[in-house]
Amino acid sequence: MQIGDLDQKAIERELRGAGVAIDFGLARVRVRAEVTGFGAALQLLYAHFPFEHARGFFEVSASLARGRGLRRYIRPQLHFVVDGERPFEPFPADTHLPLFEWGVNFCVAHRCNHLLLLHAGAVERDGAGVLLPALPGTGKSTLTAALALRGFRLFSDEFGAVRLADGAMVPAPRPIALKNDSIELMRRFCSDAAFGPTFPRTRKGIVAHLAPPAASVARRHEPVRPRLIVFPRFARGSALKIETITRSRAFVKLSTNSFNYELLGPASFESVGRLVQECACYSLVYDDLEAAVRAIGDLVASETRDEHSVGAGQRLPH
Amino acid sequence: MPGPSAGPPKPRWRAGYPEILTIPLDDELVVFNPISWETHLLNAAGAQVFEALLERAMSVPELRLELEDMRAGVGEPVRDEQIETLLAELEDLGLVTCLRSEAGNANR
Repeated sequence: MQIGDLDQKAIERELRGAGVAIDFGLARVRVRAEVTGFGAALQLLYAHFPFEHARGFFEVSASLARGRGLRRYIRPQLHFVVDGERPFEPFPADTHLPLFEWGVNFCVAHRCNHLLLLHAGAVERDGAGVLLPALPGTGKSTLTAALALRGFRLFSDEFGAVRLADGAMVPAPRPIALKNDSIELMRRFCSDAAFGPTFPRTRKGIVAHLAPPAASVARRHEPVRPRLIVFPRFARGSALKIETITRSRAFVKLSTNSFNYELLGPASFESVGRLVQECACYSLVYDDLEAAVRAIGDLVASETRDEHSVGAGQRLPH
Repeated sequence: MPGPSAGPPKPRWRAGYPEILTIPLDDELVVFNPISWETHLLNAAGAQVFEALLERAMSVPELRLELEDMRAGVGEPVRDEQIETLLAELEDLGLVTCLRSEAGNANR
């Protein structure tokens, strides 16, 4: 049974009780909540994830807790509580899903230090992993969403998670948070894409989430070898521009882009070194999303052509 | 130009720590310093000097000869002052150490 198969009352009962468990590959999360609308949003955006009773070990065990006292009635707030701690300021109560998603991102970024964590979109096609490292506000999530809607396997719009031992990319397909103009852009880009509710009053403006494709969710335990690193940047009105960048430049950009490069020290040094040695590295400036998707598809095809001709496919351990 | 053996013994330099990690990237080198926990990117000249000092300790004149060998006559000749400037920068980063006491002992 999948989360999308539960009826509304059942998911709300689970959220009030032991919690709903979500295994998104990179980590398992348990969430509890008593918040109007959260169950429905969760059910819509995590519809393709298997429903599991909340037992066993969770990397993140969180709840969304209402503010106390007058805050229950005047401008009510929600706290993200993890292991009894409230790691950041509360959100308005009607922004439950952005709070949950942001909280899970926060926990992954702070706890999953068995992996090199890059601030990057991550997708896969034809057995080739593609990392899209970028600063916030450069169109990373929008481009990742576009790739996922055009047949690439979604790994994440937030984390390029790379195993330290063998350099494989680990999937973490979750809803993609789109902001402001990107929401309407993606609705036009793919009219049957599954969106969750729109949250008009978040700290980052209007936010809506795109559900991860079912096929990506089904393969969330299948890592892949990264083959391509593309540093994307949206520039309005710009013609598509792709340039190769040197390995040393790519090293500097990746190491400064990582959530935990400094923390991991020699392990992350070697991991980033392996990435830039094994991947082709490019910068991409774009305005037209379709053209950017085609360009990345062409780069993947070019990287995988030789491999396919000799049948050198390699299955990685889960 | 005098050879490395001419005159009083010159101080010799060596790479800072055997645990230093390096990854060659084209003609450049990234270096992880396990003491400072910092990563440095060395350009081609810095990479050549540092890699030479990873092999063995050398004085500036010895380094000059080593670099001339590596470059096989290509490009501008290397001057000792350029190498000294580079070594001072690498020393500031904790990547190389000057064995001054060794030179002092040899002078006694």
